[in-house]
Amino acid sequence: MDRDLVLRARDGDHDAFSRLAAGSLGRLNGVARLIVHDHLLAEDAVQDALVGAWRDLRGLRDPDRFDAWLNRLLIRACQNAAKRDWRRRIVELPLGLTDGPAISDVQATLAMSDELERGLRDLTIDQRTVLVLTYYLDLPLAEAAATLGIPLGTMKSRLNRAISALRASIEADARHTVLTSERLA
Amino acid sequence: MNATRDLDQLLRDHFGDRADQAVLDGQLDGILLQTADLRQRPGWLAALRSPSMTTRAIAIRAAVPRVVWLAALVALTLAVLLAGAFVAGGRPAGPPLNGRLLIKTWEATSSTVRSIFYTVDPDGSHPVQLRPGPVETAGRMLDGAQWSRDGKTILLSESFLNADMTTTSTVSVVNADGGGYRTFSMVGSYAPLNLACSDWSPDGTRVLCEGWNYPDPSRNGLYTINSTDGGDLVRVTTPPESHEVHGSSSPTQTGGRDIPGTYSPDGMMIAFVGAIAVAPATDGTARIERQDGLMVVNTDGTGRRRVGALVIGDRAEWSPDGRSILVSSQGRLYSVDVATAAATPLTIKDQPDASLGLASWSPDGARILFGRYGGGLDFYTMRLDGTDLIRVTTDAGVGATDWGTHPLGD
Repeated sequence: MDRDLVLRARDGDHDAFSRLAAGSLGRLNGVARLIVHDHLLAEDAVQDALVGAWRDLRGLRDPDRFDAWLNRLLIRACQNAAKRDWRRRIVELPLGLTDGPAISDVQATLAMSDELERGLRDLTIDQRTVLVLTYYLDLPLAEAAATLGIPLGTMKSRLNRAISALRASIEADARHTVLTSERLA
Repeated sequence: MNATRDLDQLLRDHFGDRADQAVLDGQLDGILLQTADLRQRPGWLAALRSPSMTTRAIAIRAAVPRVVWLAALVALTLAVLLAGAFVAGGRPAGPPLNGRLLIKTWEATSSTVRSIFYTVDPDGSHPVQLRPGPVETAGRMLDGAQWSRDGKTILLSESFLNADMTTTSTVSVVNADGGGYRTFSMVGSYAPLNLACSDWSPDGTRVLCEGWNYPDPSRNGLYTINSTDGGDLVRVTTPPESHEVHGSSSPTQTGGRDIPGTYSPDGMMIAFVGAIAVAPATDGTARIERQDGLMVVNTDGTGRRRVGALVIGDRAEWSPDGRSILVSSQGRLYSVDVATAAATPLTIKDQPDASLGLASWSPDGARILFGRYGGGLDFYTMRLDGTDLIRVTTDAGVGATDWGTHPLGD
């Protein structure tokens, strides 16, 4: 983040803002897609966040906090986008594990990744948000709490609940898969 | 899942593998176009709003493809005799013709964003690029364009941020066929006062501009210049001082702005977006200013007053019949009656929740040209009752507009 660009953009230099936006866009896309799990909603959220950033940039008192402030705008936009979602959701059926007891390391890794993805999909957007802030953006708990505008204690409890919910979803999915495999056997 | 694996590390690896940071084609351009014509909120208001962002972007999933920027326009050969000397924009005789539109699009590279102005028929046909080539800049701040009343000439206004953080303003004119480009030679002489100009006077002899000078906001305000060479600078308004309040600390002067709209049809008044002073707070904290009000003033600078209570965007266009002013407010269009201040919403009949902006009247006052936001920005015309919607641009993502009286076709 170029502090000078932030200062110039805050003073109304749209070209400086365009450079900030260009430099942030990929990161924002990555975060939004992980949170809302929908490319179209993510695009809406990123657009809302950056438009809001331009309009309210004069409210940013500390230019060194631009990235964190922008994260916060994006989180809000993701939550709003999820609420506005009207699209018919594509229901993905859970995939059964590959048959046979012996699977390669690559297949095991892919299977684990699929389990995680299914588990994340079952979470609420708020639960996914705390996980993304913690494990994708690697924010310290205090900063993640500040991004969400909640107390540190609340952040900790939300994170614990999100992880518990994820574990429960994965375990439930694993039980379903085992049952399916047994019926097929 | 292997229970002995560390879920924390699994999540980190998973997010790292699955995060898709790909930037969609045209995604950045759409955002920059949308923000280019938006004013930043004053600091005090932005600070209040910032923690709880409430944009009103509405995801309209019309049956249109994603925005793809125009990389170039086909220039057509026109059989128009050039006047030679600059032609003043005098009011044409007879009923006004709903002629060609003036549209801006963008061409973006990895390091620059530049405007391309062109004219086009209201159905989107017969595009003509205005200038021999786009002006390339890494520091463009503002630009705009406006038809003369007779539809023969176009006013172009551009401001550039220089490497030393100073600003250079140019005001120029070009004929409707793209030829005859020339700049107003006197504008540079007013430095460090910068000018961004928005409208011709109805008789074509003057041009309405915003003047600003960031280090010295006391010079901010509306000005007019002559339409020959930009000389004869006359100040029209002096906006109230603007203050930001940081908690209970002393205010800091930032400089108010008056952003010009258009002349009234009789040339006696000016519509603009201006600063509004409010009474001091009762708890003794410093005065709080609000920007963004619809204002009118006589051309001699007297009679400055607010019209209605809307907080509006950067445009205020007087209707051809002189009775109302077209504005946008938070993604909605309104026709504001000058006499009564009544604000009539203008919406697309079948899409009442669509986010609209950047509007202009047709010369006969029966239709409007406007932009609709929805995964990008495209322009349409419609009747005032929201019917007869006609699309002008397709996947173009464009900017400032105007509707002139230049005859249709090539």
